[in-house]
Amino acid sequence: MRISALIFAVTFLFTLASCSSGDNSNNTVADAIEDEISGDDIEMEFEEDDEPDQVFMLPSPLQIGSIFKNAGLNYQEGLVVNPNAANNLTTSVDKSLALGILFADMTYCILNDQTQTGKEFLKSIKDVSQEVGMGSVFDGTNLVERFEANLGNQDSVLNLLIDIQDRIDLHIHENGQDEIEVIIFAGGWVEGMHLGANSTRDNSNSIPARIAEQMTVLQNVVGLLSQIEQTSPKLDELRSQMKSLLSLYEISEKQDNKGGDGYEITQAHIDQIAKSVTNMRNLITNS
Amino acid sequence: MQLKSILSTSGLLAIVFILGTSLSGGKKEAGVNDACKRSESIQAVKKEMVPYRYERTTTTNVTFKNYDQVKEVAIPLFFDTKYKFVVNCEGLPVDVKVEVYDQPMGMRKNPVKIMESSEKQFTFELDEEYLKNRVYINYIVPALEDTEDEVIQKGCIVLASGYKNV
Repeated sequence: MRISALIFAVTFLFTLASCSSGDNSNNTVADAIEDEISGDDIEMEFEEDDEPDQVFMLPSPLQIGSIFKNAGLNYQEGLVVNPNAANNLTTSVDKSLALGILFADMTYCILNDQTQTGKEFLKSIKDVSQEVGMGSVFDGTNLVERFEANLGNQDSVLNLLIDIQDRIDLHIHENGQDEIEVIIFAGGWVEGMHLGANSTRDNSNSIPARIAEQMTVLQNVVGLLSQIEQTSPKLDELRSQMKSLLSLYEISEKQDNKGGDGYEITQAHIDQIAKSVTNMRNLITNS
Repeated sequence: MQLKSILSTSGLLAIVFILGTSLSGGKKEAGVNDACKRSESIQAVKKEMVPYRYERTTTTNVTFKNYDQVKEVAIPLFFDTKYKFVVNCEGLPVDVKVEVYDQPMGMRKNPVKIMESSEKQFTFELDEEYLKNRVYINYIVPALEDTEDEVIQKGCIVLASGYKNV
């Protein structure tokens, strides 16, 4: 009995396997299954495509940092987070948000020749990257050692930053982690705005104008965050706070007399933005 | 004893199934021909970026269909910054047309077509005279007829951005 059952099972399994290979020279079972796999089903498989018709190219933390720097943003003690700020966070989403903050602060430090502090951020970024499944970005690269070797050479360190960015982009592309990219960027955007909005008391710089133009990016970030499936209470709250900030920005939207896109932003707006992004930053970094 | 025989039968069945599956080529999946050469394309676009500071690349994956498609990349721009973009289409099995607009597809009113090209790689620059805060790059992907062997044609387009704001 057992032997006959085994022979039946073996025959059936081979039939199934042959069928799935597309070998039609077999028996009626194969034909029946072949019939089940209708042309429409094959067409559906062909049509399946998760590539969106529109993508947003997010600016790098380095570009945003450079823009603020050139607008007159100088280094201020105490504005960056503790490099270990992500240590007490538990979920991958929350750590990814914090990773964005760490990137922004590392960039801010490097652009302002605070490379020793920048190195602390890089070490932390390496650890957190491991925790969110992006450890391979740093595998076999000696990035920290190369960073240390170039501490006095800002341009070399900036090239290292670009190298890290490229490695992250590659990792995200190869592993289909577009959502993580958006989450990291959202954290980085919040920190960049925190740095900018909290250092605008000097009227001689053009940082308010730079903060105003970040509206364009915020629109993209809010749109992208609304599309992602990963979630956490922090991320949900961040989405909500970003939408509120977007409303504030929209009040200031205005076209200039040359027909260009622009914003009319007052110190009161800046104060509100600073308060808002500080709340977002606290939300991200508090465990 | 009974349990032992069940386990040995199950083990044998598993081996037979694995053998049968591997001999027959596994689950039928339509063939895919992916022409994407991302690393090579990135190297090529980086070389073209001089004298701008290379910022980053964005890769758009393309799966050809039996109808035309348009893929759009929206890029935020900042004031007082000059930009250079390099588009590399070498990772595609067929040529695509690239068009650059000041407005997004589907929402265009008197759009300005900034440029268009069907070259494998091309560059364009935007300076302070461009007053919009975004630019939209459209990849016009032509239809490919279904083949009898149902091979899916894929590829990618690599876009690099660089900037000067000094």
